[in-house]
Amino acid sequence: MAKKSPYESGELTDSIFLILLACLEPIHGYKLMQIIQEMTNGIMEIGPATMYTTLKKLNAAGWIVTISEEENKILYQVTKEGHTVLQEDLSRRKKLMEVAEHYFISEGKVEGKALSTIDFKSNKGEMEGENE
Amino acid sequence: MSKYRFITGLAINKEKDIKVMQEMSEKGWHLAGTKGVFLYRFEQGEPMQYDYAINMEMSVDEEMLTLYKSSGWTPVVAQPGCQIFRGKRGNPPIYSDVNSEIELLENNRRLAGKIALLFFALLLLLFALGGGLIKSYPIIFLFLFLILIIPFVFTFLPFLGYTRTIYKKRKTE
Repeated sequence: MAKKSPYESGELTDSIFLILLACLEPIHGYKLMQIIQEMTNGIMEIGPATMYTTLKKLNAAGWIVTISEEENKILYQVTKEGHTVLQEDLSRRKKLMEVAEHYFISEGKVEGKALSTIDFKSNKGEMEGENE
Repeated sequence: MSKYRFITGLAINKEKDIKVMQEMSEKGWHLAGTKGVFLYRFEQGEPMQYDYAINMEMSVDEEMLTLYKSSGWTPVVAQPGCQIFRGKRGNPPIYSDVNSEIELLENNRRLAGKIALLFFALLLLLFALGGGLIKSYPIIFLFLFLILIIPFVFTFLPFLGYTRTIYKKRKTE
């Protein structure tokens, strides 16, 4: 019934993907948020609550480890397992991009006939009608 | 001098409480903490356009607060089960990803549900076995009843609240 969590399926959310990437070198939690914002040019900004729960889950899944420093500061780093998961997800993402590039994109732009919103709505209405 | 307002939302409707905090800040009364389990405490200052965020992690640690501080959210309340942060109006939200918020809500919902169920079972037990007490020692019966019904209500209502919030978040996902 419930969707498998990314920690079981290995199909990473964008947040997890970026956090693992940024943890390839040991790094502090607060720096993680800054670096992810910088490396994505502000497209992805991870909120502190999302960061905190994700780090805890990644740690529980054994994909990252915490290294305690003095003054209660904690460093995070990817484990071997985390590295493998990241590598696999990277390949999956690359494949998706290849599919898009191969079938639908030419010179960086998507091609193909796009339905206007009005068309889409009327189609949706028909589909719903069929289901009834 | 302090002003007080009832805690009404939290698990059930935190947006409502956030709105109260924002409006109080606009009038120059800023959230300073809580008093007991029922009241928010506000202290007077300059009128400000602040934003507030509520989270409900069951434990709080230094690392958590560091993450909030470095993204512009100052902790005002940091208790297990209830953390409230203040930031500039328009500060990016504390949850950037609906799934991570739903996960936390589900954990809390499960915990509240388990405790509510336990006290419900104990209440049933009281009625099944303690029926005789009603006549002989009504005070003791009432006392036991109150001891069990209060934690039941205070976990069952949040349980319903979490269920509703999760449902709403899933729908907008």
